[in-house]
Amino acid sequence: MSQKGDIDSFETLIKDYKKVAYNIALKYLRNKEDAEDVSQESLIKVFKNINKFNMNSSFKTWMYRIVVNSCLDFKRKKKEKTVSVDQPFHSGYDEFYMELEDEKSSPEEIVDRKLTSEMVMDAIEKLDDDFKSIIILRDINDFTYDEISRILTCNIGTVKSRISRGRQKLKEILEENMKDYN
Amino acid sequence: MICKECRQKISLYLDNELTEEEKTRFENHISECEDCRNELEKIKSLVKELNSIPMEELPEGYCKKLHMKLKDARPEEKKTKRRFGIRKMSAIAAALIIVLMVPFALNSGRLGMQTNEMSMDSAPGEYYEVSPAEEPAAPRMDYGSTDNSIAKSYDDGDYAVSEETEGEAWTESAESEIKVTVAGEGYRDRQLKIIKNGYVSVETEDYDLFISQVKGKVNFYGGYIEGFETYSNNYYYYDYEKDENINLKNGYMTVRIPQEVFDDAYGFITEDGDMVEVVSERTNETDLTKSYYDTESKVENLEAQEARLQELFAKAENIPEIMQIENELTRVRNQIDAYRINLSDIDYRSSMSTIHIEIREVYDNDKIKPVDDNLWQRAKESFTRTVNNLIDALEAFVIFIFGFLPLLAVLLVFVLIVYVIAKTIMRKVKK
Repeated sequence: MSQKGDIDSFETLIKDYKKVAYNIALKYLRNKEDAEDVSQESLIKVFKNINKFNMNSSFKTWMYRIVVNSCLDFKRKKKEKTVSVDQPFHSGYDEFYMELEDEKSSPEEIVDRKLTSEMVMDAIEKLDDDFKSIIILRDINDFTYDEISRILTCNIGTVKSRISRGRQKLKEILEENMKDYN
Repeated sequence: MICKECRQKISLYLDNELTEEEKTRFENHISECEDCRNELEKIKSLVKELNSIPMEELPEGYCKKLHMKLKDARPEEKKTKRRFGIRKMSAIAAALIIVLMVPFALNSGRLGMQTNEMSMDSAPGEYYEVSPAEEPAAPRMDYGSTDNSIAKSYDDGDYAVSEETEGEAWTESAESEIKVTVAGEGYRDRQLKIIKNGYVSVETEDYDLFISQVKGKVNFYGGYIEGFETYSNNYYYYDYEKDENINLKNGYMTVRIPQEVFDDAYGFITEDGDMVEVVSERTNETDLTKSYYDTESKVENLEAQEARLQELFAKAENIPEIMQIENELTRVRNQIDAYRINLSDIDYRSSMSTIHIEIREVYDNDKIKPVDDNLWQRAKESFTRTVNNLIDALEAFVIFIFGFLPLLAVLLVFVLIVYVIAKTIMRKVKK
């Protein structure tokens, strides 16, 4: 049995879940390689700690909790390593700013820009972790309120208010972005 | 319902998380308030947009990679299994100890019975035979390699023969032991395997002379010097008269002496000479007789097994059989070798005893006395001196008192006279 660390039965157990795990990671990290690594790492964490899993609770939510926490950890670590764009570098006596390519599209493209999933994802990126988690889980991966409360270990009331506020926030960010584009 | 409350309920309404009552109130408000209706539409389309974000397929090779990673993660699982194995092994070890103790318990019981029945003079002999049984575990410790080889073959567990080895060997030894206690005679013929060690620490006035004497004596007894080291600047003596430091040598010597003459040689070294003083000495003996003969019987056992295997080997017909017997033979031979090495090691160590000598050169004859002795002596002297002084003082006091006694008598009479006179005068004055 998988409780005894049998790889085959573990793979059968996660057969239906690994795709969702990967997609959750992909939405958090927005990078295929990172999503692959992190989701696999978290599945291995699940595998290693399966003996610690309390059989009374839901395996599914326990597993996704590990995935979500791994993603947040990964982002936090990555954030520490990233360099600031608007702070000057100090290199000896010289000071210089990081030069970035202008990612904004040409005026022609802006005209026929609609609300694309890319834009939505950009907006989600700007949300706080709590709201981001709730949007990813509720609206993209279609978890129920109850499941979300268990994955994020918070009560239903918190989930409800976060969903409301998260969507509100997301809508505001999108409107803001649309204004910028136009 | 006010708009603020309505806005908060939009999401819940969309997810169908409102109670019936809340729902009707919400719908009523929406039908009346255009702003809220707009807001609802916006959120609705947003959610729709979010829902439409497609689920991406797993990248190619994802499962394969995961499988590899899981395999790498497996050792950790194995470890826990092995830990469980250790627990099992310790249980086996505990069981073995109990099994080992049974013959001993039987023997001691038998001993008690026999000493009761036998006359006193046969008892010491019995004692001698049984006493080694008290330490079957202790000498065994020295021969970890033997035990390991057994344990290994035990681990494999594939061979019927190897599984038996340990148990067989033990019952064998237990049997032979019982035989010995019953028969007694056979055991007495056996040569005792006793390892003797001596530790001597001496101080000498003439280091080189002592060393050459020891060397001569060791040669005379047919022994040899296993190790010898001399240090010439560890200690020095400060000569006040000459105002200079005199280097004193110290050294360590390990001497191997045939066991028969150990006591003589040891006696020679520990003998206080004109210039030599023994500071400390210690000997110990380890009796490996039982362990030795147990191992020997194991070897005999294995040799019989080897012979049997060789018979089988001659009869073997196909390659797999030959291979299997060959394997088994190698294993048996390895074990025999391991035991033989132990036996020869015991032979070697028991035939030649070891004496460790620590030599320290001292300068002055007075200095030869061990420090402790000197201290004690001085303390004693000081104590005696103080006691003597005390006695002197007491004597003086007693003498003084006695010398003073006549004077005291005279004084007393004088005081009495004065007192009487004073009293009569006082009386007269009052009148």
